[in-house]
Amino acid sequence: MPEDKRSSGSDDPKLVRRCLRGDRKAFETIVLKYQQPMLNYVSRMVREREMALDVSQEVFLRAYAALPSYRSQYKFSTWLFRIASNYLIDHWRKKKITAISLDQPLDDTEDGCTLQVADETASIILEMERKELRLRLEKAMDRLPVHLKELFVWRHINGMSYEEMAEIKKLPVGTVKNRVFQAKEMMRGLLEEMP
Amino acid sequence: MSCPSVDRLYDDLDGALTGAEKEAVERHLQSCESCRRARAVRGRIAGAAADLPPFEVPPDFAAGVMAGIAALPVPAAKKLHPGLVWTAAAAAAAGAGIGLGMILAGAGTAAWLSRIGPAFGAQLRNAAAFAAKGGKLLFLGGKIILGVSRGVLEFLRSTAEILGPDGRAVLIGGTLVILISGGVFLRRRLPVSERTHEK
Repeated sequence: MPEDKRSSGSDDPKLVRRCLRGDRKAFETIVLKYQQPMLNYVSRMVREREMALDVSQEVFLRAYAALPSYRSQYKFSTWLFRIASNYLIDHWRKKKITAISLDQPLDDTEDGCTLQVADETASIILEMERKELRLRLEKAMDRLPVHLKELFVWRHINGMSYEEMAEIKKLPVGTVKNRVFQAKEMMRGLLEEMP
Repeated sequence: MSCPSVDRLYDDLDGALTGAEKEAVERHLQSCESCRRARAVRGRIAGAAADLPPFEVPPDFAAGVMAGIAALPVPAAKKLHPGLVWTAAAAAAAGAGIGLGMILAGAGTAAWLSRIGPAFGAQLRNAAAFAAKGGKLLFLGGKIILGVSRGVLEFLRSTAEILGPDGRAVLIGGTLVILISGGVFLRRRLPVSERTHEK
């Protein structure tokens, strides 16, 4: 998995065992390790910075409380992302809101997710072009149905494999591949439609 | 080669094609402007998505989570059922005993089994004799219970004959009254919470 780019998860079961023995520091290590990929995912799903932080925090709290149910034969990351995915589904169901309004204008104000760019060498024009493409991409992503958007984010932003996504969603790999294909083609269509 | 499917173009971008497959697609792309454009567009979108900057995590995010966790109890690991633990311990002890026996015998499994054969046979005979005695005891117990039951029935029959029809009616009525009174008495003695709520 790129960037999100998680480090090896081989020591996760050890950290979980330490947590279950009452070592809270071990859970802090887990939070520090997964906060970036978790927030990358959640922020793209809820599109409001404060809400993304609240949701991610709640996901970590739920994961902590559910640690006894974690089985070390599974990847910790997929277990954690399943909790996040289920939480988001419940959250939207209860609040009866969609991930984002289809017509909501995209802006770069404080309320939106602040996306940091560190490319000082790029020329101003190139930077503007990149920014424009990013904005268009974010806008197109927001128009995807939630179940496709989630897979698109996992695949292209979190860099997950099809197998990992299939494990999280408890779906066959073929189904996941097919849905990611749909998401990508829908994204392309939406981007082409944009003025 | 005819134009590859869009799916295959994505596989190419994902690096999921084998050497020969990739070579075939590349060869086709050299001569097909339409497929070249199709792949370029899809590659650009995938690249831009992967290039999206990460969420800026506040430096105190983990501390905030840990503050929330401080209020929670330490999650307890699921404990094994005590019976299961004892069974596993007994099985392990038996295994260890057998292993020790084998080591002490100083031979392989077959030799060890043949050596303990006579002793094992004697134990088996003892166990069979013990089981036979137990069975006999159970049979005798059953016979005694049957005899007592017959005696009770005989007593009731003779009593009924002595009492006659009226006496039997009085006896049955009296028994019912005693049973109902007992039930009512017990119900009153029970605490309120243990009573069934009729409303």
